[in-house]
Amino acid sequence: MRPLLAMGAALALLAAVAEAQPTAAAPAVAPTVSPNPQPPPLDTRSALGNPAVVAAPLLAGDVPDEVKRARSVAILPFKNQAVRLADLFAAEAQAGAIEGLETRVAQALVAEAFVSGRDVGEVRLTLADDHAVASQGQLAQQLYRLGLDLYWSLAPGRAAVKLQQAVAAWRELYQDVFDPKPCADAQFMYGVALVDSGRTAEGHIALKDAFALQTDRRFRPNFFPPPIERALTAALADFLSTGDPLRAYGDSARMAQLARRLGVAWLVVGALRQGEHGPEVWLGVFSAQRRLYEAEIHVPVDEFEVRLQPFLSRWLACAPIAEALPAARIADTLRTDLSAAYAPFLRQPTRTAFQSVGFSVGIAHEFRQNLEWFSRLALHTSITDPYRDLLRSFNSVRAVVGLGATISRGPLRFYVQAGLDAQLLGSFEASVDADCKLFGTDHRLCDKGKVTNLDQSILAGVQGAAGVQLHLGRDFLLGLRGSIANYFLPLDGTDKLNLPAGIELGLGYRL
Amino acid sequence: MRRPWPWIAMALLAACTSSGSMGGVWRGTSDPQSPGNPLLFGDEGAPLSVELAIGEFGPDLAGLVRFYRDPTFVSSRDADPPDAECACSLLHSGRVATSHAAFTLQGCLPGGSPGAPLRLRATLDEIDTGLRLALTVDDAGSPLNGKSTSLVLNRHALANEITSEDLACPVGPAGGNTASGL
Repeated sequence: MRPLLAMGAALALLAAVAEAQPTAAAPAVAPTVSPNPQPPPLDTRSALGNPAVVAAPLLAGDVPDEVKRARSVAILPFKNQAVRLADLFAAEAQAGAIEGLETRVAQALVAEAFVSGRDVGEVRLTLADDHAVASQGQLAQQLYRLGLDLYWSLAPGRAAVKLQQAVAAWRELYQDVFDPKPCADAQFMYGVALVDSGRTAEGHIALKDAFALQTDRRFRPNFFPPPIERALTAALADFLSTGDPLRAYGDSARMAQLARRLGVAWLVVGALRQGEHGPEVWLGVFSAQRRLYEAEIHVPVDEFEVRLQPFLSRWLACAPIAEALPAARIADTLRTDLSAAYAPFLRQPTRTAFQSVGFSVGIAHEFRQNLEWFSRLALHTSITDPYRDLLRSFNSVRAVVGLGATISRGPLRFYVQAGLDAQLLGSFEASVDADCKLFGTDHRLCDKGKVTNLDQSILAGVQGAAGVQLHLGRDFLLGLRGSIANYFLPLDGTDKLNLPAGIELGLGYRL
Repeated sequence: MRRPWPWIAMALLAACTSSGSMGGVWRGTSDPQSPGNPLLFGDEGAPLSVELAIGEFGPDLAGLVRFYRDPTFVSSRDADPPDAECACSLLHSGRVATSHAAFTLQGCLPGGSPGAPLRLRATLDEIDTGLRLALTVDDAGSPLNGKSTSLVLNRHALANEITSEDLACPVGPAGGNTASGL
């Protein structure tokens, strides 16, 4: 006990230091409103996947409102466990009360500041909208059908195997979350098959798990033989007396995976269960980062309305909150790059395309959040086309300056840019006259009207570009940029040679 | 292992700037004894040498044909100057298809042509030993109209070896049969 007390004192001291220096990097520890143990230090950067977030666990009071990032919370479908043993072989129960509770919790969460909530409907849609649901769901359905066939063919042992596989396939899709009935059906039949094959203890556990999936499930009287009915009754009784109402969706690892799948940091789970003095609402908030329930309550239904808001406020006050760096701190970033470039002209005076390759250097300065200016300088060499309409290879120098909008997603940074583009051409001369090519443009046979001479010309116009940079580690970047320009100066010199496109691939460095 | 990039770049450059297989300098000598050669012969029926400088650019062909009265140029390029009076004629309307080319000539023709300028149609066909040049007079006003001759040309220089001297063709009087003086 003494070491624990010493650790507690040390943590309190650290917390006091952190409070005195809110911007210090020393990790603070978030207290919980539940009797759960103290959590490990929290890395909110990895939790939210945004590099613009400070890597320190902070509480709501530690972070100024203007830099708080909303907590992302999803509400999982509540479980109706307010059932009686006597009703097990009676008519189906109604779930209206559960939907009302879900809606009330969603409204209460939305009303809280700095909370981004996803209600049950969104959760169901998100989970169901997965291409794997169609294919793997079909497989699970086939396994379930096969299991039933085997069961009715008096092969309960083999049926149990198939039914177990069906349940596993559905659970992998989180079918038990967005549409639990098929999964529960398979789980019930799995338990029934086990009991039927003499594996009573395993069957009891399987049936108990089935009631966790769908506690309000009812069965037609006399549909199953008496031993099965007894097993079902025993399993429900066991679940209602010992089953945790808030752990119906699996263990902490699966809950964390589910949160990741939904793209949230917290999950709200709830259940309605019969208490000693009437129905009670159970509510819990699971933290995906810490893999534990940060807050739990169970209150009588008639007190739920009154107790809900204080419960959420208490949890939010103690739950870690991420801090977004002010714009001024993430801006002022300078990026440079050196890229290989392929820059063909989409409008050329030659009959077949001549190619332009080279390299470019660029610099971009993010002076405001999501806003940057940039400048690029490129040196290209254009080589003659197969028909040699371009009379000789030439070099060109190109400069671009402009503004760009940026957005970052994890290690990727996307941008679009618009700017002014100027290109100094080298000895550009083109003709479709074979005599001009062989004898030269000064020869009497050369038709001067068929010669395009842009020697030493400067073309100017506007350029649009889009690109992406991948953060390779440390401050190195891999960049890909595509661009297109339209020249309009000189006024009479852009009809033959224009629309230079560009693809650049290179390495960059963030200063 | 040697770095492959320079070779790849050179191959790319070569592929992009290929000038075809007919480009270059070609030479051949007519055989005046041949019954099918009523057009190309020198003084007193001596053999006449022909040099063709060709630039091939995709589907287009340009160049000139130069005549020598002495075949020694075959072994020594500058051994003799071109024919003094009928040095060369420029190719016109040159077009190239696969292994075949056609063009026209307007000017003098040593040998059997009369003094007036002649218009000739010419074709080139790739053969194992080089090119076969066929010339046909296409001049309704000439007594030689319709007559044709052919000779085999051998490559003397590649396309990228053509020099400005190879292409020199001074403007002069476009005579006719400089050998016979007609």
